[in-house]
Amino acid sequence: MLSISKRTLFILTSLAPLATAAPTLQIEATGTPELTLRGKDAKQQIIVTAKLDDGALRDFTHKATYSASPAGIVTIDATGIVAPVADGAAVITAEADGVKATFPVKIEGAGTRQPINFANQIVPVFTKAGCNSGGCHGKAGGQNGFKLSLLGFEPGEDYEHIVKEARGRRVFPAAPDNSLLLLKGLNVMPHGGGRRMDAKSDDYALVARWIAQGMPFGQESDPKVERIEVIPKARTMALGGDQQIIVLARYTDGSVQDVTRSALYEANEKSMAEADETGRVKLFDQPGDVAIMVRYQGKVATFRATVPLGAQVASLPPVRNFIDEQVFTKLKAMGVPPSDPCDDATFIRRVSIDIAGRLPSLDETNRFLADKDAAKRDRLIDTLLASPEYADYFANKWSSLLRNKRTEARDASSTFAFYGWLRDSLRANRPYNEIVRDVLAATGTVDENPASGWYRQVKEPQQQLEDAAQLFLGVRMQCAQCHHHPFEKWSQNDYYSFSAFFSQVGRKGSAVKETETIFHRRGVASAVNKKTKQPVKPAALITGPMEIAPEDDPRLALADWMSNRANPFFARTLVNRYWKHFFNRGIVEPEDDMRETNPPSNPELLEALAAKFVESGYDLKGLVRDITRSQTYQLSAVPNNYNKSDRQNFSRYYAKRLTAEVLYDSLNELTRTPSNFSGMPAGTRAISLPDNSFNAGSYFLTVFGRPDSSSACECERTQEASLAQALHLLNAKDIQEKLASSSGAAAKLAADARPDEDKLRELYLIAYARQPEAAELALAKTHIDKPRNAADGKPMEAVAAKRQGYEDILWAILNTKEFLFNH
Amino acid sequence: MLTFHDSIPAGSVMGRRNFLRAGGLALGGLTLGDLLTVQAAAKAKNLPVRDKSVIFLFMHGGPSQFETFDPKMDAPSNIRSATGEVKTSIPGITFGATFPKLARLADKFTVVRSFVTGDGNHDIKPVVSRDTLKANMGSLYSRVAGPVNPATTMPTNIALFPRAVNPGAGEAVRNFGDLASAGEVGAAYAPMVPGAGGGLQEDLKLHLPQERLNDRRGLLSSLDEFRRRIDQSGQIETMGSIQQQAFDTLLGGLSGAFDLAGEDPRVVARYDTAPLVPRDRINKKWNNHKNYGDHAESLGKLLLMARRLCEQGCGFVTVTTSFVWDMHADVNNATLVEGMGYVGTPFDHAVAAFIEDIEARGLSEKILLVCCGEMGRAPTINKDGGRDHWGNLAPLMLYGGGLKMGQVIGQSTRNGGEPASDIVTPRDLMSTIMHTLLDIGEVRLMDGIPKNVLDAVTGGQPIKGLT
Repeated sequence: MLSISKRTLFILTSLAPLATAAPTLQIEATGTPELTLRGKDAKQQIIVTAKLDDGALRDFTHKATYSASPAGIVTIDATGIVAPVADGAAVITAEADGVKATFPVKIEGAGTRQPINFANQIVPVFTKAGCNSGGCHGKAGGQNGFKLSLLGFEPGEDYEHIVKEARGRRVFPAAPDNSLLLLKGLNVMPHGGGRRMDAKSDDYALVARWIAQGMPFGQESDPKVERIEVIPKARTMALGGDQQIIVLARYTDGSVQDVTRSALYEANEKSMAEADETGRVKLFDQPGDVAIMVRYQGKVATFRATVPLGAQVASLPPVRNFIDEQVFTKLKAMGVPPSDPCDDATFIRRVSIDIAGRLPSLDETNRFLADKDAAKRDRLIDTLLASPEYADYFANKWSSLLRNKRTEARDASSTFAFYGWLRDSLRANRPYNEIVRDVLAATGTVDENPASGWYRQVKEPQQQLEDAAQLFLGVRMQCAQCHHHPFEKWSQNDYYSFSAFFSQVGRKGSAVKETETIFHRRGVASAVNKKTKQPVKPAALITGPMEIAPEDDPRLALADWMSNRANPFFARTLVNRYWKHFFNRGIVEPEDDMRETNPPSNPELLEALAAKFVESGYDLKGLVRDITRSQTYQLSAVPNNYNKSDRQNFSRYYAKRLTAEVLYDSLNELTRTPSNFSGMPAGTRAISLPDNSFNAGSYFLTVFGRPDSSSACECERTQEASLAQALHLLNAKDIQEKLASSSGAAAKLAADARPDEDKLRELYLIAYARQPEAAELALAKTHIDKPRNAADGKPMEAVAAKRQGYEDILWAILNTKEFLFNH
Repeated sequence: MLTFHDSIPAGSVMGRRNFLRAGGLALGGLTLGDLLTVQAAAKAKNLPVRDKSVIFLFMHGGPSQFETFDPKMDAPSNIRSATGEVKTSIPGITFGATFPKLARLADKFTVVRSFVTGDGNHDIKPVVSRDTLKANMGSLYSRVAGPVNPATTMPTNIALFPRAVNPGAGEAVRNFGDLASAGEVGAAYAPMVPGAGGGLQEDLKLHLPQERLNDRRGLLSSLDEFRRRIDQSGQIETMGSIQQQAFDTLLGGLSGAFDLAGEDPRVVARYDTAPLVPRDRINKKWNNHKNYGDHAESLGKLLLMARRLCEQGCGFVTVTTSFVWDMHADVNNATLVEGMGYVGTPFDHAVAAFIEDIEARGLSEKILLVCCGEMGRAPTINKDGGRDHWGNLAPLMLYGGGLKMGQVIGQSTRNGGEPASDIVTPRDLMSTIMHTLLDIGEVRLMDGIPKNVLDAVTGGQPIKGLT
């Protein structure tokens, strides 16, 4: 923005010979070189784009001044909306910064009004005003006796409800302004939803006119919206810049209408941009990529803005693998210089937590820091991947997503078996596609085949399809059960066709215990679309219906489809999920909501990771190795002068709070006190707990957000900081007891004869995998040496005083952000 | 608050942050604008909470529908209300005769006469049931709103037993289920029980001498200084500010909220139900006599405390006394006539005082009071003058919350044993409560809420006729 205003000033004031080319302006309307408006109510948003001398494009729509000649044919307002006055031809001129652009307009039928079509024109008004949203009249039971279909997907039903229900009292053609529908919308009559319309607005006028016309529904032959498109589709924009967009609806009869002010807008990254109801996108001050999802009449389109920071990327750390190539290419394009590579201390702590879910031991840290081998980081990664804790940590993750939930005590043998199977599979590094196949197509009891554990909790075909789609394909289908997915292309038909894969899952009681046997019930797989009441054949999202013989298990066909090398969802979803595990942010975010309207921040990176993963034969450890070996992963979390605002280009490591389990284990490690989980040996790590049942007895685990294995969503784990957590760490009785334990770290350190400095160094190495700085050491030493009085006011005995000093130091360490976060 | 006003010129806009700070500091005695603060903070966090609270007065033991809100005086004497009836402010509607004060206020609340809890078992439905994922209903709310109100640091889910106001009272009755359960929702969302300890409440109590905590705080802040180079925005910064808030809470004390000493003594006296049933007037032959005493001594104060907690940002308060409504006329429980004197009279007084207070404070849109038990009582009075368990009809009353008041919803059959109109179920009641507390449409779009919680919170249909 700054550069533009400078330039503006320059053009206006100077006659200097140095003046380079002024910006050139261009006007766009519908993508054709001329605009034709038909009918009295036609309107069109135009946009004015300036091409600056450096080639950059900037939106001048709201900066330009407009005129039209000859007069009396069209009007154009300051926001660039063209409206007809009389038939004829005119030329619109936009002027800004002393330069002009023109655009021809033709008006036809300015005196005639098209009959109104309910579905095409009236329903979008309700959608825009939020009347038919899920929280209001659009919810299943309607609101206060008035029901609209969710987001207007069923215009026929809406028409019935508005025109015929309640004895027709909602509309009053004799005096449209007195219609209940409008009085409520204006909040003239008390309306729970408040004022949703303005009496002077075009929307109001349109609805009033529709009522006056006798509420026409429109003809069967009237055109329907085929698709919507956005102009421009994408732009490279400046930080803080803005852009007017045009939304066009293309109808089945080939006609086009401007629906910019009737569409709804939503940014996928709300901290980066917002769009107002007129389709004007405003950026904030964060560089990156942002997509504005545009919705109209169940159709979606996106406007994508790339917002470079524009700093010089003079030098880059050495590229270590293909990940760095993709990330660094993007960083150069965005002008975001990456942070420096992290030091060894940071690396060993970071990678131990991320791969093995634990702090490095004192011994490991010392050896690693002393090691002079240039390949020591790679070796450390391999050691961690080979350790049992790798399998524990990732089994813990998958166990929760695969809903390995214990609700009754007797479930334990099932949950333990399923967890054990997951752990063994990960430890042995079985290919991911095989693990998924075993889960999806499982038969037998949990005892015979632990992989069938998923079916124990996920019982209905609908749950099975929703979980499978979200977990393995990154597609959220839930909404499509009841209505067309508002942000997506999935329909109810897609939903039920997918569920048909699970239609032949049989269950029967087992002779042994209460476990059930899962089997394939012979028969033709099909499901009924609840809306159309028609049976549908199995179909996986983008495939057509599949023909599956009655004796074949349809779940195998689904698993085959997933493992197909060309499957666009399966590998991408997994690599994105794992990426997020390490980087605290998916390339697509959230990691299990991949859709056209939520694009990846670095598509080439996602592509490369997925291709490599497929190539490797779905090698999970290989993927972890690739990610952690990359320079990108090994960048420091400390921002440089430029990349502090970067949240999606991975120009530094994004610090993340330790998870409930890792934090709990680390705390025990630091205080040298064992965990105590009922039914498990003392000292069992929280990270290796086989199911969710231990949460109930552990305030610590629940308050820090350990999931209860109730859903296939990673989001069930809450990583958000809360006051309850802070209070617990600062003041919980349990933690005080750990600190004060007579067999704990403080007692041992106080009794240890070594100099305090040595002991403090050791504490720092355990907690942070680094040496304390001189000032830190001095500060801690001073605190330990401080004279202390007992409750009776007399000076404390030396060892007791020292022990109290160490308790304080330990307490402070475990409350530092450096300890609470992986960074 | 005062200095704050002094330093701000009249008419200037109070910054939200300052406003919140004022709210946090003055916690002990805040009354005005608290709900506003809550709303502001909720908006800031994008929580789909509405600016409302619910108090669930659980009439444990199973109150009779006849002697409370549906006397059936036209029925034979072995069926109709044993205590007779009293006319209410709504023509044609009468209540049991131990409810004269409520009868005068009948136009202020709504009674449901077709409420069916489904079985005649002593458990703790509808507060804790399968519908609520075996958690206190408030835990579901907390799962959405967070365990602690971000603006006031008040826990969002609190359960009050007689010990909260009367340390000498008996322990909470847990034989039939624990009202402080968090069930499948998770321990972090369990109701805080003042006077009983447990997770959050334990953590709110200072476990160290204040001096040592101050000392530690200093140590932490200097040790934490060193590695500040790591990006301090986002999560880390949030953690830092929450830590400071936690210190303020610990050192400033939330305890004032749980202490009625801060309340105007005249208000306490207005609520107090202790003088109505002195312990020496309770017949010791009933094994439950201590519970009757605890009930009378605590109920009024419990409702007063519940109101204070709501004003300070608690969203869901469960109030219950000690299993006093089980009027079988057996060795444990009194007859209907005697029992309603011990139990019904304090109920009448406390709820009436509550309603008058809420009306006077203009909070009737903001706070919803729900009163019911786990079941109702049989139509036929037993030979000893009590009534036995009955799952086919139970009394239910609701007050406030911005719902439609002054009505009787539903009808019962002539013998008062079954609903004669559309059945209202505990699921419907829960849905009404959730719709009062939360913007359900927005909850559906929230990330991070487990499916079972989401289904429990957003499922079902609110009781018809209340909105």
